[in-house]
Amino acid sequence: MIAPWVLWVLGNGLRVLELPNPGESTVTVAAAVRLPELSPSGLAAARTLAEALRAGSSGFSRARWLVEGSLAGVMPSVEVARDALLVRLTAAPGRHLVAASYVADLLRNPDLGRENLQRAWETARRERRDLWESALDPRAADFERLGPSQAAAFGRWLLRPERVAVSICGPFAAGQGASALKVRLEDWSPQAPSRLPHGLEGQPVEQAPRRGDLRVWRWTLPWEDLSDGAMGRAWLVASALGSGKGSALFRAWRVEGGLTYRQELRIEGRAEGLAWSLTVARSGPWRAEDALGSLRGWVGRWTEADRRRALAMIDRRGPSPLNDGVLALTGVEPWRPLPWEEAELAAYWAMKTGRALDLGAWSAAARDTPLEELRRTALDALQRAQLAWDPGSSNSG
Amino acid sequence: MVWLPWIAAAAMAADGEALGWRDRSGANVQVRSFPGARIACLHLVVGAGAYPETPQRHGWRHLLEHLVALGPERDLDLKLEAVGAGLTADTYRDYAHFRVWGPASEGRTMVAALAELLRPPKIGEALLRRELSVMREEAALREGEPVALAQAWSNAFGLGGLDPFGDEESLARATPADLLGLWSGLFRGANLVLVACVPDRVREWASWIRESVVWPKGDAAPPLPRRTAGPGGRLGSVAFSGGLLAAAVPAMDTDATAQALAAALAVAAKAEGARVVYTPTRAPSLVSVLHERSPNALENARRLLESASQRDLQSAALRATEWLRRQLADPLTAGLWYGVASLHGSSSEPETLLERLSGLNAEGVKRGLRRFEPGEAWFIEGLRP
Repeated sequence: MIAPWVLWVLGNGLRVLELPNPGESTVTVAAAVRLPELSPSGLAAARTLAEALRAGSSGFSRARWLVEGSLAGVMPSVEVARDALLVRLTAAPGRHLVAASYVADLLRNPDLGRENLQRAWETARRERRDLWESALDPRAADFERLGPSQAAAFGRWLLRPERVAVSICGPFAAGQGASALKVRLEDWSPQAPSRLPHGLEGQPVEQAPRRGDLRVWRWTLPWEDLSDGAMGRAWLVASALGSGKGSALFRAWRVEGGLTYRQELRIEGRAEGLAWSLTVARSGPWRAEDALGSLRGWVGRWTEADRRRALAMIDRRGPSPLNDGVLALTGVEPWRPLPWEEAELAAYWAMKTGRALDLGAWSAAARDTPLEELRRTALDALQRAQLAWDPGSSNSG
Repeated sequence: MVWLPWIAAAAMAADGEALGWRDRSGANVQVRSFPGARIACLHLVVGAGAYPETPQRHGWRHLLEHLVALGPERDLDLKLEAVGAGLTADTYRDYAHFRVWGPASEGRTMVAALAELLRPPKIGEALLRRELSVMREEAALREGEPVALAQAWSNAFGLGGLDPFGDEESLARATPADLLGLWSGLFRGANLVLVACVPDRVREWASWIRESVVWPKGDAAPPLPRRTAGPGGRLGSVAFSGGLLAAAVPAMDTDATAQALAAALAVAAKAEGARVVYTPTRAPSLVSVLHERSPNALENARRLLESASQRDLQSAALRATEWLRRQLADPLTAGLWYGVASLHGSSSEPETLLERLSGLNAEGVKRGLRRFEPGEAWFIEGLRP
């Protein structure tokens, strides 16, 4: 389980979190920057900005970031999530001051010059996503109506302390990590907020990915209660429905039905709150309503053993932030308490809620959720989830 | 049964302990300690020597892996997940790898699951058809990296590089009797290696394994058929929009493999977003660098490295050493290395490779880079728009 983080709110609105851990062999500094709901042009701007940030800042070049990362064996990353821009640098022990300097300088002095942004725009525009990546984040990005100057304006509008949370963890004494961040970021007070360029904020446009006979079905349902108790219940339901090979999704659709190879349930970030998403790909004939019906039937037959399995999966697998969703709760890879994932999640949660992450409270709420409530919540979610698109008629009938 | 304690391997923690024995069935069993590890992991390696991939039974081992991993009662995952443990299974050209992992406190459950994996599977027509349907969906989703890797292997080694994933036609020919026959040929003592990577209590784990696991009997499988890499070349792939550079290397414990691994990591570090793929084996294979999104990033990075400083090249060797050291210090990954090495009687290759990497200088990395030059290496250029 992830240990408790300590949170400070600085005078400029920036949130700083710290988790000292003498047992760790790396130091991580992670930042989460709150994104608004992005139109296709806005998503292109966010991806262009992320690419520009990967080049480093005026003070610390990309080459220096890579050297720091390679000494720790973990590459630095800048990713665009649905509701956040995530920046992370993992460095060798003893390098917490250096890592804090790099991330702070990137937030304060990003290279938003025309040359870097033109290069970033071209790189981001060429990025290709495979079908499953597109299934998990099907938002369309429109690069053609975005110029470098708009991406620069977007960066200036976005990178402000009140939109940011920064976390630090690693083998240092209590207070040292937070102090390193505070010294570098407490006087960060950019000029009065600029305007978000017209057309970047707006409703995302989702496109159904498709290749040959392969189609994707995706259902979503908003989840707005971000209290620790509600998150604990949501975590348990997600675990029972979609985490591991004993989950309802895996058993009903793959093991018993032989219908699918890949099916995934997630809790994703949204500009407002979170959302459940259930994604499945299928090339053969498929009646989506029947498949959902068989899944509901499976959930209806859940017993105390299913609840215990879901709780055991929670203990096994902590949530981790991915670039396409905040809490990836499914998958079959062993859970590993990777400190850089913990740092990223802590920054994200503070950015999202203003609170320090308390997985102990989530876990307690999950344990307090009885079988009947687990079943009811899951059935209700499956009943109310909306199909994101019509994947096509020839195979779905 | 003979117990052969040996000195802990160099890559393990200083106070690591290991026990090994050969079961009467011929199975090679090792229990290695990883002090401080938070989980335990049982690695079962099943050699492919008797059944290399051929066009006639292309993918059958992969299909069998799917069926075996379900467990004889199709509830193995449920049993493991109930205690926070889990199972993964993968089929490679030279072996299959089953991995049971979980909290060390659940050791008995994990060993019981391993014992179930070694029981003959129950394969009926209905189950077979259902699993084939799942595999068709798996095939439909396949794109990018695995497709490009399969292409590189086929071009480098011809039929000897055939991808174990299989194709629909050959898979559809498999009958329950075929698969049970395949199981008997593969799951026999001398063709099996178990490496248990545990935090502590090595002797206790060894006792559980001796008490609970019934090894199928059988002679050693023939050695892997020899495969030879042809000269490199350049290819296009419409299933892929990135780039792949692959260099042929001999067995895992050679200087050439160490040099190629360090060079591959140097290329990958220069081309951000790239990654290195190498499956440990005692047979000739490929060290590949992949960039999922850019066809030219790898070649550009390789050219940049032609003028790299001694220090940059030396740091690539250090990175490669550190990478393998981490692999061998992690219970989730170490067992595969030791298991593969032990398939044909040895277990020292991982340490030998580590020694070669740690002794690598800038000149050695340069030699590795030459393996990725045009004419030497395979370059797959993604053509998908």
